Amino acid sequence: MTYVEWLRVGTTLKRTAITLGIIFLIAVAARIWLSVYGPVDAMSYVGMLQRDPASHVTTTTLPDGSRQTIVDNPAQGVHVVAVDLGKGHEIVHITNSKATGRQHIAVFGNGDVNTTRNGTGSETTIETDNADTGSSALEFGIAGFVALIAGMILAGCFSRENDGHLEIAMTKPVSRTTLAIQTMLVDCVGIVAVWVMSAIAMYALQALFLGFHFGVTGRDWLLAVVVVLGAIAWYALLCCSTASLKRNYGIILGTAWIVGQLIPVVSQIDDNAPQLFLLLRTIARPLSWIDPFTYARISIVMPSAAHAMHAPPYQVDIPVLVALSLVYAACAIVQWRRVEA
Amino acid sequence: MSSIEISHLSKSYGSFTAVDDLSLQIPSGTVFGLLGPNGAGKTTTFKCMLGLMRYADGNVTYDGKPLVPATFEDLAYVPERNVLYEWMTVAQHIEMNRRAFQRFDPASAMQLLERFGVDPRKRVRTLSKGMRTATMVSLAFARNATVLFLDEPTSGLDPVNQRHVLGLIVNEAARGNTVLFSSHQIGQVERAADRIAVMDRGRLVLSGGVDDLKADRKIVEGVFPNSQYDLDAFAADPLVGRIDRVQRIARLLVTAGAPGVAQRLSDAGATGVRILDLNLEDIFFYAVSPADATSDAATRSIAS
Repeated sequence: MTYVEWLRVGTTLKRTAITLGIIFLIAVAARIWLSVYGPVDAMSYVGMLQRDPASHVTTTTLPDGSRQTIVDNPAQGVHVVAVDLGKGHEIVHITNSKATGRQHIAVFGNGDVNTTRNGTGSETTIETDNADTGSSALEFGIAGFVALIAGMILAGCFSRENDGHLEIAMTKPVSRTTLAIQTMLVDCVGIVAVWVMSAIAMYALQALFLGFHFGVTGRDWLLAVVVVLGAIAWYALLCCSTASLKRNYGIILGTAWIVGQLIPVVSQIDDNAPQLFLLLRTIARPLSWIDPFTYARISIVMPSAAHAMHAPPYQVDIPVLVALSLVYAACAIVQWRRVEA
Repeated sequence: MSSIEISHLSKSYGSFTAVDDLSLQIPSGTVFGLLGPNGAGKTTTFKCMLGLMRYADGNVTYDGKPLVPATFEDLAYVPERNVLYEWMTVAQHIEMNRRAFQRFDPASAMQLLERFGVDPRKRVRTLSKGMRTATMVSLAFARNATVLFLDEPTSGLDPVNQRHVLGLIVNEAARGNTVLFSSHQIGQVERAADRIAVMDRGRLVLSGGVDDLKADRKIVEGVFPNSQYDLDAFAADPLVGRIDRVQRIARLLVTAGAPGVAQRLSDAGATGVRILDLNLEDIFFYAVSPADATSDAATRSIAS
């Protein structure tokens, strides 16, 4: 019964994949450019040095459990002592007795590089601290934003049927309610799939520049649930707003997110603001209670947003987003049941 | 399942009454033509019958039962306008129907499309109006439904394909299925339909078997010696639907008993009294615009 909706979801996934693929290709190009013309990534440099046949590599485990690797490369005049303290924390000391064309070493990710000149040579100390990359908050948050866009695109499911296809949709041997529920479930699968696809793409981008330092904390999973539910709740709200429309629904789908984003911000305007803003706040505050953006705080990964500081904890966000999704979905279904061809 | 009963169906759009107290019985295995001028309420009637529109009053039953979702396994509908998804291919529409309807036969759909010259790999947006109609017709006939609702099923088709659609309609009736169709091409209705109903401004103005209507309805024409003649006796006759006077010529449209009326006209002093047959187009015109119909019909009959 939902073949058409699966096709729509498939198209959305395809377009998302193409967009993410283009972004990834641009990132690969940027990475190659950086490798050739930009600073040398410290960890890549050490890795390459280890693989050089002229290098002599000694690896030992220190009493504190950390792993020490010593690389000697007389041909290049390089001596490296790298200590891996675990959890992305490494200290690398590079002594270069010869001047080379590529002296500038950088760290992509969290870390410090200190280089001192010593005659024709140099001493470089690198300390990486990629413990933070054990969190996937950024990846999940950005993926949530992409899922939100997908939800916005898919939310025209009912109005697109109203726009000249009801004779097909409503002469299927299934009740309108069942068809509507199935349609929305298919779209929700699509939203989740877009989120997964985007999260994978974000990991790939991270791996490209920062290496494979992935980790997911319990809080990250909560964030994932919140952003996905946020996208679904926003989708349901848009479905509710457009379920009875036969045309012009694109305007609502395209502009509602601006209002949706503004409402939580306006609702947190300070008491000292001018009267006009306080009036807007009075209007926005009750609306913010039913605005999914109030709870789907993608701004968690962009904490500069004012409302993020006042937002309730996840324990509140998740049940509220579930409730909003269900209420908006029910409203959409009730409206769509009454639409005439 | 294939007999349909409509009782006292009414549907309004605000103050405009699109369907006004319509009652019809469509027996199973019938090819039923629904005729009417533009805005007569044919499409609205179809949509009300299919639950695509809510109606204020009345009732529609299929074999005595109300329309429920499962009924759509037995119903196929070709709307008057294109409702196909522009961005989908014809093959995807076939797949959509295959998944939705148990009795849908994809092979039959492919055969019909081939017969109409529609390439299933094409997207709907690239098809002409006629091709789109052909696609909708092919999908409907491949459903193996027991009742087909065809709203202008030949719209945009070339004469060869129009005839092919008429053949399909007749075949369905031969298989015992019911076909309810509307068309502005009355000649097609006359060829295919067993029974017709004529609607005008939402009301049913005529219904019955095509052959019966043609057998009963005649024009009785006579010429009087001068233009001062009295036809008041005929005006009160329930068998006389309309009287037209064109100087010395009197034309009476009778709904039954034409020989008797002809005799009475002759007795009233008319000479050269004759009975003229009506075709379905004449009957239709008479039903929806009686002011012009009789003289037009008579003129055509005389000319032929």
